[in-house]
Parts: sequence; C-alpha cells; structure tokens
Amino acid sequence: MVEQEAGKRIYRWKRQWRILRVLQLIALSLGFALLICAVLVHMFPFAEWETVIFVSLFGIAFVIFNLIHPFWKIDAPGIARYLDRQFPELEESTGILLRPSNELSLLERLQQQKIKTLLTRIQTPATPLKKLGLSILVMITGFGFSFMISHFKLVNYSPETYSQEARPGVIKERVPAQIASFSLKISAPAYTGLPERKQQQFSVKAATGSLLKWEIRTNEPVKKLKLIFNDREVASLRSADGLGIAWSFLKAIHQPGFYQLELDGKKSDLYQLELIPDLPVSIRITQPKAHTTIDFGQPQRLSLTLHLNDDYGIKDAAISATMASGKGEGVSFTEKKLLFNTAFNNSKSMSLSKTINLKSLGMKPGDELYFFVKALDNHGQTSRSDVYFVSIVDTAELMSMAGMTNGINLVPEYFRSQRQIIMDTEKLLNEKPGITEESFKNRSNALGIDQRLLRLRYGKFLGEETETAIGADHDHDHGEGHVHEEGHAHEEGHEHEGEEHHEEKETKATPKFGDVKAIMDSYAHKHDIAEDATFFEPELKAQLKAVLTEMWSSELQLRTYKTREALPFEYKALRLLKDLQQKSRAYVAKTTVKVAQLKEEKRLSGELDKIAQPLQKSSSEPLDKKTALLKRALSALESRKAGAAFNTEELSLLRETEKYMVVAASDNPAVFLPALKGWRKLMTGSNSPEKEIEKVQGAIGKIIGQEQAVPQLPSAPPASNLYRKYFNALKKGEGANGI
Amino acid sequence: MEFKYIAIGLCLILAAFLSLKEWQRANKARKIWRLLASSVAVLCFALFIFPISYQVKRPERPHEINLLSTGAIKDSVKNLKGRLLTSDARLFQSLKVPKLNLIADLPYFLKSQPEINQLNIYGYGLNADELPALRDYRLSFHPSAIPEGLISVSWNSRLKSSETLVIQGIYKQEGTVPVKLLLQGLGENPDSLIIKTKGENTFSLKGRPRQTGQAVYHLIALRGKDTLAKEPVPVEVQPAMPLKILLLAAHPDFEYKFLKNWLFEKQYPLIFRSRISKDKYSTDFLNKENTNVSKINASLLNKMDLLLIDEEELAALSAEELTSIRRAVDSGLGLVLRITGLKATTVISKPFGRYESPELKNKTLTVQLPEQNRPFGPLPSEQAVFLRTSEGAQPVLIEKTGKVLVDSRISGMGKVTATVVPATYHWLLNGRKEDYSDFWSTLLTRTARKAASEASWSIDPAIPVHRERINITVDLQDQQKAPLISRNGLRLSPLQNIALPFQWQVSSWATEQGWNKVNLNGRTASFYVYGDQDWKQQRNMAKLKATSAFVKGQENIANPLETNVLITKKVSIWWFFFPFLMAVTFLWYETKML
Repeated sequence: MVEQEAGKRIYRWKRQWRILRVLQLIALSLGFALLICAVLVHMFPFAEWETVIFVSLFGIAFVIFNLIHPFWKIDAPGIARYLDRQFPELEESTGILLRPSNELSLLERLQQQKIKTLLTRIQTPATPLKKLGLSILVMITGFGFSFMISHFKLVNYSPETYSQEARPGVIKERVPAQIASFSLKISAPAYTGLPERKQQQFSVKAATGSLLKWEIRTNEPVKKLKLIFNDREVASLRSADGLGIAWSFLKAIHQPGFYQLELDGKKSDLYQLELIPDLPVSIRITQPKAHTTIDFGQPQRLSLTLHLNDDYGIKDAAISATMASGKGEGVSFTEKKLLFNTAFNNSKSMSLSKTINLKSLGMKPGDELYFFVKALDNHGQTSRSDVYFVSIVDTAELMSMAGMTNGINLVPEYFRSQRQIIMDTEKLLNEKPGITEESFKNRSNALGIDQRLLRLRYGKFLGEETETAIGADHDHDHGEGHVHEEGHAHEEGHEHEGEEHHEEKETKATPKFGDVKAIMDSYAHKHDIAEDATFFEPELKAQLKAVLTEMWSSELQLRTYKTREALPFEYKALRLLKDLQQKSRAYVAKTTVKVAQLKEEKRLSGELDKIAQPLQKSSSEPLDKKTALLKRALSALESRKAGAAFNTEELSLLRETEKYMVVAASDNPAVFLPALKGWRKLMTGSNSPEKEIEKVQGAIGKIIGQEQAVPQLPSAPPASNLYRKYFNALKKGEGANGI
Repeated sequence: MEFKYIAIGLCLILAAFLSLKEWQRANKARKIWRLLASSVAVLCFALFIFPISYQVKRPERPHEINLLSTGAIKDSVKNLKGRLLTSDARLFQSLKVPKLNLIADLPYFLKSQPEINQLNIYGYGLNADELPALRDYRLSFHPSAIPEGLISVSWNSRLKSSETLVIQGIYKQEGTVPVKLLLQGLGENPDSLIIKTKGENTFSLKGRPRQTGQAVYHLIALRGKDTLAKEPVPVEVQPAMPLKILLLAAHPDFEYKFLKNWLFEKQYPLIFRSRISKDKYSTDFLNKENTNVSKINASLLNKMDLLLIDEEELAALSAEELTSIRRAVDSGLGLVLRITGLKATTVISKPFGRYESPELKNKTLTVQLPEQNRPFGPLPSEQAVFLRTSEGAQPVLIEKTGKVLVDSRISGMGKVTATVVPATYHWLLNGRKEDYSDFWSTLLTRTARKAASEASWSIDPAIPVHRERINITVDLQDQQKAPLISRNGLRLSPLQNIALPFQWQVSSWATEQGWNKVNLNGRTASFYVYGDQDWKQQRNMAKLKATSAFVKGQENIANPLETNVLITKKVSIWWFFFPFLMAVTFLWYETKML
C-alpha cells in the first residue's frame, strides 16, 4: 500500500511540475514578447501589425524557452534525483522506489521500505512554484514596460515624415452613441500618387480633390441620417440596406471646413475637413546672377544651375529665352524655348544644370538675353522663376564716336586715347607675323608706356601721386613724353604736358639762394591740390578707380609682351570710361512738336472769374459691425472667466458673433474648429474651464486680426478755473518778459 | 518651603552620620581629609537641590519694543533682547519664536502703553498709511533683504481702442537659471522676455488689447516649467474718439491724397482744401457738412481738432488768417506743418530750424520712434532736410542715425508739430500699412487738441487688495457742485479738498475681489480689486521703501531713558558637581587603594 502511495506521489509531482513549467514558460515568453513588441512599435510606426508582431514574437520566445528548459523532459527519475539532493534523510535512494520491488536485492528492498515511509512524510518541494512566481514577475514587468513605452511621447516619430503618409494625427472625437461602426475611405486624386486609405475617424486631412466615402452602421434603425457641411450644405444619406442600419455617402471635397452628422435630428460633434493643397514647383536658380555682363574676351557661354522642388512630382521644365538685338527703334526680339535634356519622371525634387551657348543662339555683341525657367507639376500647375539678364558688350559700339561729336564733351581726349591704344594694339597684333619679334616687343612696350601715361593722367583726377611728383628733383623722363608724342595725336596730353613743363620752368626760374620755401618744396612730400582731389563725387571716384585698375592690368600685359591678353582689359577700361562719360551728359532727343497758335489778347489777363471751385462731398458707410462686435464679445467672455453667467445682452451679442466663427471655421478648420466646438459648449451653459474660454478668445483674436494704430483725440484732465488762471498768469508773464 | 527645611535637615543628619562613621573608623590615617571630603560632598549635594541665586543690576529699556513685520526672518529676530511684538497673525504662526507676542492693532497698542517711545521694526516694514501714526516715536528700521521676483511694476490700465498696453517694471533675479516673463491674455501671448542676469532687471512688455471693455491679462514669471508668479494685469479699453481734421494744401499731391483716403476710411470728419489758383480752391468735405472754407477764421478753427498744412500754403495765407491760426493754436488747436524748404517763410514755422545733410544721398530713409528700437520700413525718398534740435522742442520721430524728422513744440495750450518727411505713402504702396498708421497716429495723436474731460478720478492705493480701505479722488471741471458718487447703490459723501476746491475725496472699502464699479456723476468707472496673494513682492517692496523713507525723514528724538532693573541669576550647578565628584572619588579611592 505504502509503496504504491509513495510511487504515486512521485508521479503526481511529475504531472504537477510539467504543468507548472509550461505555465512558467508561457509567462516568461509573454513578458519578453510584450517588451520587445512595445519597443519595436515605438521605434517603427506600424500600428496595424501590432498583434501579428506580438503573436509571432510570443511564439518564437515560447519555442526558444522550451528548447532551453523542455517541460517534457521532466520525468520521475529526475524528480527522484532532485529529492535526493534536497532531502539528505532519503539517503540517496529515492530512485529505488521507482524500480519494481521484485527486481531489487534484499538490502535494496529494505532500504525501499524505509524510504517509502520517509517519502510520505516529507513536504512537497516548493521550487517549481517559486520559479513560476519569478516568471510571472517577469511577465508583469513586461506589461509595465510596454504600457510605459506606449504612453511615451513618440520621440522619433516626427509629423513631417509621416503626416504626408496615410497617418494623420489621431484626434480624440466623440462619436454619437447610435453609431455601431463606421469607416471612411479616402481616395486621393491621381496626381498625388497616394494610395487609397481607410480610417476609423471622422476628422479628415486629405489632398484637395480627394474622394471621401463614408460607410456608417448604426446599432438601431435610423430614419434619417444627414451630413451637414460647414453648417450650410446638407446631404441626406440613403440607407444602403433599406433598413436604416447601413449607410454610405460619397463626396469629393474641394473646400476645407467642417461637418457633422445628424441622426434623426440629433446632431453630433463637429468634425474637421482639412485639405492639403498642391503647391506649384518651387524654382531656385543658384547660377548665374540676375544680371550678367559678358565682356570682350570672355567665353560667350552661360552655365545655369537650378534646383526644382514639388510636393508630388515635376512633370516638365524648360527655359524660356528671349533675345533682344539691334538698337534704337530697330530692336527685334526672338523667343526660344530651351529644353533640359533629362527625363522628369514625376520626381519630387531635382537639380538641373545647363550650359547655354550664346553664339549658337545667334547672339551677337550688343545683344541681350532675358530668360526664365518655367516648370510644370503633375497637377498641371505652372510656376516660373524671376527673369535673368545676360548681355554681351558690343566692342564696336564702344569704339564708335556717336554721341561724342555733338553735345558737351567733358573728357573726350583721354577717352579717345584709350580708344587709340586699343586700335594700335589690334593693329600690332595684325602686323605681328610680318615684323621681327624685336620690333613687336618694342612696340608692345611703347603701347604699355602709353597706357601708363594715360593712367597717370586719370590718376591725377583722383588725387593720386604721380611718380614724377615725389621728391624727385624734377628731372623728368622726357623719353616718355617723346614716345608718347610719337605714338599719336594727343591734344590734351600735350596741353597737360605743356603745363607741366611750364611749372617746371617756373620752379627752375624761381630758386634763389636762401629761398627756404623753394628748398622745402623740393623736399617736402607734396600732394596734389586738395581741391583737385575732391573734385568728384565719391561714386565717380570709385568708377575712376575701377578704370585705373583696368589700365594697370592692361599696362602689365602690354609690357610683358602678352599683347593679346591686354585687349580685354583695354576694352573694359574703355567701356567704363564711356559709362563715366555718359553719366555726365543729359540727352534729349529731338522731337517735332506742333504748337497751337497763341491768342495774345487772352493771355496773362489774370481773370479767374470763370474758374469754378470744385467741391466734393462724401461720407463713409458705417464701419462693418464685425470687429466691434467681436471686440465686445471678447470682454463678455472675459467676465465669464470670472465665473459670472452671461446676461441676456451678452448672450445676444455672443449669438451674433457665432456666424463669424462658423465662417472662419469653414475657411480654416484646423485653427478655428476646436474653438467653435468650445464655443458651442459654452453656449449650452455648461461650465467650461478657463482654458476653453481662452481658446475661444484666442480664435476671436485671430479673426479680428492685427490691429493698427489710429489717431485719436487725446484727453486732458478736467480744466478747472484754477488751472486756467495759472495758465493765463504764465502767459501774461511771458508777454511781460518779452520772450 | 517646608521641603527646603526638611532637605536641609536630612542633609545635616547625613553629614552628622558620615562624620560619626569617619570618626569611628578603624583606619585613622587621613582622618581629617576624609572628614573634609565627606562634608564637601554633602554640602555640594545640598547645593544641587538648592542652587545659589543672586541679584544683579542691569540697565534695561522698558520704553522700547521690537516690532516684527512681514518678511522678518526667524534667525535674525530670535536673539533680540526686549519685547518682541507683531500685529501679523500669519507671521506670528509661522515664526514660532517663544518670546513673540501678537497684538491686534499697533496704534491701539501704542495708545494703551504710553510709556513706549522707541520702535525697532524688522522685516519689510509697514504700509504707507500705517506710518503716520508712528510720527512721535523714535524708530529704527532693520529691513529684510529685497524680495525676489516682480518688485516693481506699472502699466497703463485705462486704454483707448488700438492703444498699446505697456507693462514696465523691475524684476529681481536670484540664482543663475534664467526667468521668462510672459504677458498672457485673451488666449494669446502678446509678448515675452527672458531675464538672465542676476540682480534687478528692468523689463518692458507690450501688447495691443483687442477687446472693448474689461479684461484681465496676466504677467507670468516662469523658471523652466515652474511658475514663479502669475499676477493679474487688469486692463480696460474704451472706444477711441475721432479727430476733426482740416487739411490745407498749396497743391494736390500723393501724400495728401493717400492721407485723405486713409483718414476717410477710418471715418474721420475731414475737410481737405487744395489751392488751384489765386483764391480758387478745390474742397472735399468728408464725413462733414459743407461750410465755407475759402477764408480761414476762428470759428472754423474752433470746430477743428487739428490743422495740417504745408509751409507753402501757410505762406500763401493772409496775415489775418495767420493770426487766427496762431490764436487758435494758443487756445488748444493742434497744428501739423509739412516742411520741405530750408528757409522758414512764416512766423509760425520759424521756430523749427532746419539744415541740409547730404548723408542720405542715394540711400533710403528709415524712420523710428525715439524711445523704440523698432524701425519703420525704409522709404525710398532721399532725405536731405532735417530739423535742428533746439530748446523747447520734443523730437517725435527720428531718422535711424538720430537726426530729427518730426519735431513738436508747445504753443500756448496747443501744439505745433513739424515734419520734413515728404512722402510716407510709399508704405501703403509697399503693403506696410502698420508703419503708415503708426507714423500718422503718433503724429496726429501727439498734436491734436486735447479734449478736456468733465471729471477724472484716481484710486489710492494703486493696487488695492481685498478688504483694504481705498480712497477715490475725483477732479471736477465744475468746482461748484459736489460730485454724485455711489457704489453698490449706496451714495457716498465726498469730502472737498481745502486747498484745491475742485478735488473731492471719498473713502470706501474693497469689498469684492475682481472688477468693482463706482458711479461718478452718472458714469460708471471700474477698478480692479486684487487678491491677497497678487503682486505680493511688489507690495512688500513698496512697504520697504515707504518705511525706509519714513524712518530716514524722522527727526532724532533723544535717547530713551535707561533704568536699572534687578535680575535674579542662578549659579550653574556644574560649579557644585565637580567638587562633589572629587570628594566622592577621593573617599572611594582612599578605601580601595591606599
């Protein structure tokens, strides 16, 4: 009997332990699966797959734990070994009990008898229970963590990245009790390329032109179900099943606003309809600048780089270029469309670059090119960039004498000489193959010297010191002047040179022995006359300086026999000089005017009696009441904040302002709809918290908009007789003092 | 008493017994010493029970009290000698200094104890209205440290529509964490500011209240997420009163045209006259009935609040017309002069000196208000003429580098303002409507005739607290009649000021927290009554200042008399313990060791 009982006990334990182990493993894997699932969902937003992930995780964990601690491997011998370890009084012989007694030796049988009685007396070991307790603890911790994580602020879940996707922010909304279930299918228009999506929420945020389909099931038959859009447009729904339980409605939305459900005359909360408009392509041109001038010698090419951006896709982009050639009345325009040699493939953003060869466009010097970039997005909206200008400088125009032969000539001589240098340079270059290198170098150098002289002359205008004026004891390098004379006619130059010589003579004539001034003069660092230096306006000076810089560069090239390289600088100097010259001229073109014959007897009589005095009178309409009304509503709400109930006057005032709120909410539901909801709640007389009232106030403030200062009558304190007396006495005193 | 004798008797018996025992002791060595030690031990034991006390004379000041007020710190007052008193029940509870006594009312207490002539005040001091009662006392003030937070503040609480609310004050910052000051109201945050530096920081916050009527804004001090203070800023906005304007132009130009249209849009009554030829005018009457304006005379000008005229037109007016303009200005009319030339052509425009400066050649003009940093949008005109600053003139608008563009001076009761800005309509064309309206609002509001009100009122204290006594002062234009003042349906009887007969004063109580109404001659005036906790630091600071000033202004009254007081002092029992211990130790040690 006893033997059987002891054996049974061991087997019973085996069964119990196996069950406990299974429970333990389930609890453990539940805990781990919950934790990992929560972390995953937190990091990657795939809410719909939550259950799937969880179940699969749980399965994986369960299998792994089973492999580590297999419950089916718990058997009677194992338990016997465990008992031996745990209870020394069993004398390492629990195993004997499991063996049939007829197989045992006498000694063993004796031992078996002893153990049997002992075994019935020992306590049920608690270890498996403890282990189960531990794993339940793990499970609870898992629950706790997952709960915490799901309530955590979604950190790396930025709305920018996902709001475009099919996941608008979940808004808490109150759904009427009669509605058992509902779903809203949103099909975005084709151009957006967004997939169709379904949501269990009445508030909508969708691209403009989206098709919405409501499918509503009520839990009891409803006679009438309406959708009211923006408090104006009412749409009655037809029951899909004829019973009044399943309803559906289809509508394309092109206008933002809000809507509400009406079930048998009972109106629901307000739900938001927000539209995401499609923006046209934004074009950003990084190169070139708005105005580009191509000087002589520069490559007649234009490299264009730009960046295009669109929210759904770019369909096409092209450069629209207009060339203007000719001058005066003979300007002709040619338009051309230049294409980018890339496929657009509805990409959302792209960088483009293109090199426009101005020559191949047929542009000549003096022509101008205006261009802008036009882009088309996949919704058919076009956008265009600013207009950019490119002009090629006409060297022939610079060389022409037009405009110089007539009118006032301020500095024509210098001007002509720069022109002469260019002509000479070109001549020299043409003759280069026919002359020796020696003579080419000599002539180039001579031209450089010419350029230098010219520069020095202009330098004088700026008050720069010429090399000849500093300290040097007036021993001029006459060679320069000589070469210069040889070069070409230079009237002003001669004159000036002459002056210098004259001065020289004077200084040479005057020195007397002991004339301190003369000696001082020859050693002092004397600048030009101050008047000379400030003769020009700063702007003019800056331009002159730019001319000198060009001349410097030109001289450098000439003197180092890089004659060809000097040409661009010479041209630029000439262009700048010409600009300078044009600046000081006012040009009025000749026109032919026919003047009516004057009646001498009527003129200058000084009679004004026939002149009528015009008189206008108008009075403005009273200002729109809206702002005044809203302003008063603000302070009415303020008194509500203090806890006072609205009086009848305030109530009627607030009712009147409601229509403005509705209009604002239908125009911009995202901003004004929460306020309108709060407003409705307020008007029902329920006790709203201060926050709610402030929200309404903030919305009204936004409707009123930015206020501007207006002039107003200042007020003074009451003028009593005493003040007047003081004032008059002071005035009298002022008169007496004669101030 | 009886216990004392019994104890003494017992001690004597004990001494006798011990002496006998010593006498009879077998070991006769050191007998005297032992006897001595026993008697010392018994004597000291007796003195444990009855320590010696003696009386000393000490000078005391019975005529002096220490008065603790709000803000007194326990550590600094607990060791004070003399009487400690406070009339602040909350302070009395929180301090828990044993010697501190609570008195109900300070003036009453002082009257009941006429011998007191010196008060030492601790804490933030007393309210300004409590101080005069202490005039005949010798005072010394030991102020607590300046409180942290919003210690001073002021704002324009009675505004006209579209006027700007400006809150200015001082914030005392302690600690290194920056504090954010936030102006909040009507569901918006019009302005905010961050205070970083330690110490007293001045601040200025601005907002344009949008409501008509009353509203309570809040000034909030935030440190991180902790709200340090949230103080109410009650503001009342009344509709603005329009101006009646007369525009006289030598020739029509865009500046006049835009100004005219802008004022017309705002529904101002306006007459615009521009000269066509000699004595020929084109006239516009906008929101105004027709009158004859071919001659400018006193009756026309008296109906107007403001005259805007350019210098050319002023020069073209007859001497008679000029005199009537001068007279009208002296009696209150506002005059705005548009100046373009360098030389003054009339007497009226003579005080405005001008000079030419080529600095702004080829540059845009940036106008700004002298006290504000916000510049207006740039104007494309090249400004060459500027006004010379001179005595008696107040710059209204300046160029960015400080050159005066609009100047104002007083002439009699009126004001004359000169502007050299030739074209402001570019702002309107550029869509900067707010710059245009700011410019002209500043100019016209500063210059226009001041409308004298029939009555004005003020309230004292400026921040009345719930259950506090308030004084309402009313100024009247008509000094013959007493004003009708009523509150909550009860008529109050005002008291006429002896020196200023047009000023009337009435006392009342701040019964209700929040907006309160007073009826003044049939018109309703509102004031706000604050809670106990509102603007606490500001009030503490005000107390501190008032008390310091009052104490400083107090004449020195002769030193209070010092009298000698007999005080009983106990000799510490430690003095007896050590001889006792030594004696007993000797007795024990002698038996054991020797």
